[in-house]
Amino acid sequence: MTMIEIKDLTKQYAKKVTAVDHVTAVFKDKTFYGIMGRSGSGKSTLLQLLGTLAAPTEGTIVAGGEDITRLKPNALADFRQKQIGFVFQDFQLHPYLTALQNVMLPMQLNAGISRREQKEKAMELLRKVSLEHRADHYPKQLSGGEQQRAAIARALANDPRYILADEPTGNLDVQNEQRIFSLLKELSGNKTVIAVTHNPVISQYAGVVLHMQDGRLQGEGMV
Amino acid sequence: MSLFRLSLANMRCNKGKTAVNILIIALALILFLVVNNLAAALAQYVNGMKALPKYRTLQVTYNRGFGSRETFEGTLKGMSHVKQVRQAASPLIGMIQDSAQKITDGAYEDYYYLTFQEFHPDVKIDLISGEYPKHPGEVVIPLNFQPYYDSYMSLTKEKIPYLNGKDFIGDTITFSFRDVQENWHQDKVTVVGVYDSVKVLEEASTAYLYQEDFIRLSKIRFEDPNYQPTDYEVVVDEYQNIPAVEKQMENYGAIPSRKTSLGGIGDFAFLMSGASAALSAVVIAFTLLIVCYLISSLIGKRKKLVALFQTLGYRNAKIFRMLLSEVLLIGLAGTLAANLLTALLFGPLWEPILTRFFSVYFLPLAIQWDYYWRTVLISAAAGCLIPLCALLFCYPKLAKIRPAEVLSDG
Repeated sequence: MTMIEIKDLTKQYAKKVTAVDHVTAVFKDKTFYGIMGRSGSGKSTLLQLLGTLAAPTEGTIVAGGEDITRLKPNALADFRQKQIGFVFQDFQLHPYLTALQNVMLPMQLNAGISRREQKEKAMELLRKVSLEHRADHYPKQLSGGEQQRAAIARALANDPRYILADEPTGNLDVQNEQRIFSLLKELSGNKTVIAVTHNPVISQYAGVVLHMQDGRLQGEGMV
Repeated sequence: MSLFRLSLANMRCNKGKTAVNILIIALALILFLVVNNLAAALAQYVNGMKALPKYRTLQVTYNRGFGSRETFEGTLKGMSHVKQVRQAASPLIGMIQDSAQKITDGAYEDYYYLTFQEFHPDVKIDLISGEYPKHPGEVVIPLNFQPYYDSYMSLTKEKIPYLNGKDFIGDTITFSFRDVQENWHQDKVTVVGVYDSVKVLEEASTAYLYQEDFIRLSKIRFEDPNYQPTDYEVVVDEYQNIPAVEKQMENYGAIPSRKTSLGGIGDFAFLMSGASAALSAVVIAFTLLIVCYLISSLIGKRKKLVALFQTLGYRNAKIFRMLLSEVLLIGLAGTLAANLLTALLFGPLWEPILTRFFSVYFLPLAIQWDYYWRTVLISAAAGCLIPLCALLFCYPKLAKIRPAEVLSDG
């Protein structure tokens, strides 16, 4: 089943700089995509467009049969909450919440889950990333690798269809880098994972590796 | 995790700004509480005074021209709004009254009056220090003795404004005065006590100056403690009806010898209440501006956190609610701090502040600091509304935050 289809996607800044230039691609279900490219190639912008954090200048993004570029702000927020899990290079954990509370953060928006269930589910996710013993620690008490694993657990909180990772290993050592990529690969068993990175190691883990250059996407999987 | 818990966690991200916000709100509310509580205390004081028998009475001096005493008394009793007529009571008490004004040659002059006051038994002079005069030539003086204004009294102390009357106890004052024929007289009196001049108003005795036999009466009263005054006290049913009774007296040909000046202090209370409302409005408006600026810069500092919530799927309305609960917590903390500090410190401190730094001696004694729940509730409402209004004002800035720009350099 086709999960995300982007067509003629373009993003221009101030009508001068074209970060993403008429990109057309299909991202399939349960696949780990690695998007590589130099700084300024437009890979992070593409990820932001896919994550609905920025609006395209032109083109469409169809996810689950729905053109998400037409959604209003509240519907976009709901889409992000239910369908997307973000992982950032600098983790973006709330500094004054514990690892467990950070994982529970997206669940606050899910009215159907009680507080107890939220806690149980968050613990389960922390267990999944081997961080259950650090549940009550604040981000500053965690190592970089642990913070990124907590961020991945948070990304999984609402069981999204897509995991979008922007330089997920950018601030990590080699050992943690392998661990994170392995984890993302494991997640792609039942989700679409798209990670943008400079790191060539991703080719060992990603099912599909795409290259971004001057705002254009090249490689396997392109339409 | 509750919204409250989340707001507390968010507040910890910018502890400095949060503390400054709480401090500014607390300081503004302290000023608000002080000004409004003082105005309320003053209003209560004036209302209390109006309820006293003294402020519902007039004193009129019997004159043989009105015929027999019985006729005079009967006429007074027959006037509307008059509840009772009685001779002004003894014993005699010597006192120097506060400054009063008299027009001489078209210009106002300030005077102190040496009087020998007959008080209604219900009314006592509140002595602050010293003792009541018992012998001829002994006087009590007001606490806020201001010889600076008086050009008719030579004193043993230096002529400086707002002297504390307590400093005069035991001193002999040479008292120079002139009668209605412009003849100068001199006498010496000894200060034995200090009274609360606010509770004994100036109007209580000024009539003596207009009496032709003022000197003679004064001398007699000095020398004869058993002298029976010829003054009558007219008890009026309501304070507001005093002018009506005065008018009836004037129509009859008698001149009320004591006029109340409560209207003056009432006007002052009214002025204070207006001034406190104006000052409160200025303080609140100024605080609102500062808090607006602080919350605006707080949102500027929070861009990353707001963007994070947006990426997690939080709608702007939800983020606003989160910030709302945060600013309400700030407002409540400021209100609580202001009320606690005011309650704990201002009561004991305001008397020394007024007397030591402003040399005002009579206000602290006359008007007791009190805590008015209405003022407290208004301050709590203001404490919460200020940050709320500031947040509403800053909402467009919040709505403009774009996570793509804040979280990544892509």
